[in-house]
Amino acid sequence: MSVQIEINRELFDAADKHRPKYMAKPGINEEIIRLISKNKNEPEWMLQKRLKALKLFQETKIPEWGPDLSSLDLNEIIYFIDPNAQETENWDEVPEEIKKTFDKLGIPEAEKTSLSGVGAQYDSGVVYHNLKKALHDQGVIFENMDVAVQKYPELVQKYFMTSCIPITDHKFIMLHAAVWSGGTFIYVPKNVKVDLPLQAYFRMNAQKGGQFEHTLIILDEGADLHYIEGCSSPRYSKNSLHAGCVELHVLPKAKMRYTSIENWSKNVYNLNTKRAIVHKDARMEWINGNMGSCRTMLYPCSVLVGEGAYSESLGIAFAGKNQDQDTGSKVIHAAPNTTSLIRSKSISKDGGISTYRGLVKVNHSADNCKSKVQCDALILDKKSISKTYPYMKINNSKSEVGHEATISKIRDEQLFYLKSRGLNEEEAVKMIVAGFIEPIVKALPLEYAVELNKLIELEVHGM
Amino acid sequence: MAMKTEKSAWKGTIILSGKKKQFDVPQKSKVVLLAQDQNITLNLGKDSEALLCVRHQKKNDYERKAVLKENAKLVTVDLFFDTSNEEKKINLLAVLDGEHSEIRKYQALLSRRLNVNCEIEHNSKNTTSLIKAKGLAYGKINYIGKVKVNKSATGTKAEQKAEIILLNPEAECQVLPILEVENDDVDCSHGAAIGEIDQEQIFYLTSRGLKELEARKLILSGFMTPIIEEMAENSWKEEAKNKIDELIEDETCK
Repeated sequence: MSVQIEINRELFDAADKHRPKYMAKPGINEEIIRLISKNKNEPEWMLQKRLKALKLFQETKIPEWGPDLSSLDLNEIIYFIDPNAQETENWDEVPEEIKKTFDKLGIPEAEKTSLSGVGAQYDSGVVYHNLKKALHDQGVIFENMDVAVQKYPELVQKYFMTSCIPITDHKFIMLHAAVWSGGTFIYVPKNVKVDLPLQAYFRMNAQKGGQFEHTLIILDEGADLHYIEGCSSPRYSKNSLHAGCVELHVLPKAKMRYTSIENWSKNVYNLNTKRAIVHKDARMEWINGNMGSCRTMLYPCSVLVGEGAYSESLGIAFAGKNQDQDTGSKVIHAAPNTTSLIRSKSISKDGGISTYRGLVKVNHSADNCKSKVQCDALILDKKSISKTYPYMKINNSKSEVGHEATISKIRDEQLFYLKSRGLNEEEAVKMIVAGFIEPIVKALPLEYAVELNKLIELEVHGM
Repeated sequence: MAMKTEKSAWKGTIILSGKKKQFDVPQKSKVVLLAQDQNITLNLGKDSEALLCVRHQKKNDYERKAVLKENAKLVTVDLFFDTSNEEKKINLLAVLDGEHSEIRKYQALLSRRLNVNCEIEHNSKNTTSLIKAKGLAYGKINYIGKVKVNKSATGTKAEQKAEIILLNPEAECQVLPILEVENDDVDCSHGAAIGEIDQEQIFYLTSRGLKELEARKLILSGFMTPIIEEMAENSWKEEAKNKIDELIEDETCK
């Protein structure tokens, strides 16, 4: 087939000649942890948590399953960088170079289209954080994680890496807990509905810069929020690591939608952990896109702990040359009458490997659970690989769990049909691919779908 | 999938005893093989056809491997029926080595403690595979079904289906259907469904005057029938059906 499908990376693969204010030496040790904590003026309990996590990290081995991580040298990574800019509420105060990067990424446009707040993470500090007054009046807290530790100690101490993702979870969470920096903290009070999606943009810039942002969102009873996270990073020759952590607490009757488009440059190891605790009658929706990075290991998880909780997950992964996208969704049904739906799509091309690795678990006590998983994979050439590993662990006899998966190429009949209607092969392939990913694109808000088109959506070039 | 074979066409039945570990099906021949729990290596020559029926009633672990040459066709029917509390591990591997070779696997998962690892490797062009597993869980079932399509295996068709009904609250079940595909000219799918017996069906039958246990027996044995019917040996079929009825009676009254 003489058709090439590419993601246009030019926009984000250009690095700025930006000088960070402070950069730690590569590698990790207790000294660096203490330095990070001191630099952020953190309370003692946070420092202790970091040190405990560091100890666990050093004792734990790298997981042996999944994509090959042998070329990732954890001693080469810089674990803390503070950007030149001070945190600011005013766009004019953001340094010119940083603005340029955001301009390329379309952030100001996103704001113009009246997104309710933009918190953009530039390396390890937040340079721009804007929150509409109306939201503030409603009692919604939308804050940099570093600041939240100081300003809301009770909330943070209660929820930060405790019941949702404990620091003992796995090797990269231990690392994250030790060196985390920046990120977002959101608290939505009881019965408050945030009408517009909140958005934050993460971006790595310094060479070998590690990104360990922490997102903690708490939706109180009956609250409603849509949060969007986008990631993009310029390309460098040395390996970079992203080990973020997202913790969501969706309290009874609350409704949370978490949209994340991750488009790291192709040398980044994206080893991310996302989990939501979903309480009684609450609703959790995940929308995930994974386009970039050389290795991705990301399995957003919903733990349905309250009766009647619901979780839905839509995901798309694109694996191009030298990419190994190991993604999937996890659902743990821990309460009766809970429901989950997982839909996953993947495309592999130019020797890329895309893997769906998911889990549906129904606990003993969880009567009348329903779960449906559907995975579709498209392989665009002979060199590429697609894999599916859907784990199902069912310990309750009153539940219904179904899984379906298909792997195929674009059918000759499909191409023939479209070509007979006057389209050339390139257009036909483009149309079929667009149709394949449409269910996910459709779930995005309009502004973001436009941005997705601009930044992330597949571009088809004739050879 | 066009894989119909007339049963009447089968010639000669060979019983594999415990001592015979390896069996070669000669070129262009057709055989029916009956076996019990034992390690078996099966080599199917060019254009050969074989139907292998195996009863698993013992507590031991074992392995089976089948290699299929060009145009060879293999149908296997496995009846796992060990109600003891002993855990056992069973590895089944089939390699489709020759072009146009085909395999169909039917599995009845009826043991209390069962660990099955069933793998099919597509190594050559235009090969076809089907795995159909059905089970009633009342203990602990751990089932892994893996289809691997190598780079050279273009034109592969592979289908995998696992359906398990949980009989009682103690039942635990883990199912992992794996697909690993390394080329684009394939048509692969897998499906898995785990659930309880359909209450609407029970309601329908009980409203027609059947007792609930009778209704359950009817539904569950009907569910297993497509696998049992693939057995070549009639006496084995009858035995299996009776055993399923007994099992339902024993396990649902708990």
